[in-house]
Amino acid sequence: MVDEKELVPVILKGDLHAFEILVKEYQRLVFFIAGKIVTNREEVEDVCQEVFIKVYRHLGSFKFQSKLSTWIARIAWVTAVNHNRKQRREHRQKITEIETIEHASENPEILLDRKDVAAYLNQLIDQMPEQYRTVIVLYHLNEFSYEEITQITGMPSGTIKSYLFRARKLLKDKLTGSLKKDIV
Amino acid sequence: MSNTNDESIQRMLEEKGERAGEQALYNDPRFSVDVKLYQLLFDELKKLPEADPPPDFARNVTAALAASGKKVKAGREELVIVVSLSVIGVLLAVGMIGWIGVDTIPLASVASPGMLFISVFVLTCFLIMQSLESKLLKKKYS
Repeated sequence: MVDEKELVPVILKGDLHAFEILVKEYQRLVFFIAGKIVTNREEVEDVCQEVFIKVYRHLGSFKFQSKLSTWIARIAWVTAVNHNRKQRREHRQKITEIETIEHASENPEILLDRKDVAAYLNQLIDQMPEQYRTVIVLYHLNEFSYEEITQITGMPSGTIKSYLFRARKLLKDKLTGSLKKDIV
Repeated sequence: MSNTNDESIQRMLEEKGERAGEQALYNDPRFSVDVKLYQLLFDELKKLPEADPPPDFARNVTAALAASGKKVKAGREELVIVVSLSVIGVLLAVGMIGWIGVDTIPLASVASPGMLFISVFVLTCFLIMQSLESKLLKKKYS
């Protein structure tokens, strides 16, 4: 674990080796967020690189009022969401509605084993609308608190709770019909 | 099942303070299937596969930053050279006019041999600085 308060001033002096240490520390977080938000898988790495270039250029404005991970997560989230918006504008894609989500290989006759649940959930999350994906990824996968998710996304706490509730309910409902009876 | 029930189960699992579940819960007949399903969901969400960055990702990012930094610096240096040479050129021209003493040219009244001396001095300083800077840069990046 790196000491942010020691590392940041060194980076601000232009030390790229120190910045490489910061990238190694937070690259998993950024890949995790961008990987779940950016719809085109092939573009995730480019988006992550863009995130870290923004981090480097704006590090001077980071005043340690939040955790560095929260600040970087916010840049990752904003960059990924903007990237999706740009893509949507370019391709005029329709946003999937939560009620119409269907698992590509969903077949009621093929029921899930316990070991398949995580992979199934992963696919379901990928098909969710952006705001649902965001809260699930930040709360459950990255373990940010509600307050931190508010700082990252700018969404009010009530909205986050509401999205989280609906996202979990949707996932639970999908699991209900897909699990073998002996699992739960 | 009503939304209220779903909400209370979700809140209960959140309030447990840990987002991982307890295996024992699955075998406990006191809990409903819905509670067990939500617990399974909470457990499995923790196990989702992580997106692994490429092994040389951090190095690529810093290399891209270094390359863009050099590009900006080179652009700035070019601009400084062009502006400096233009100023020196104007000073030289005005100095020459004053030295030759062509009274018919309006600028000659403000020009003087001193100006020529100043411009030659500035030009010499500029060339020395450029030479020193390039030596320093070579040392830094070699």
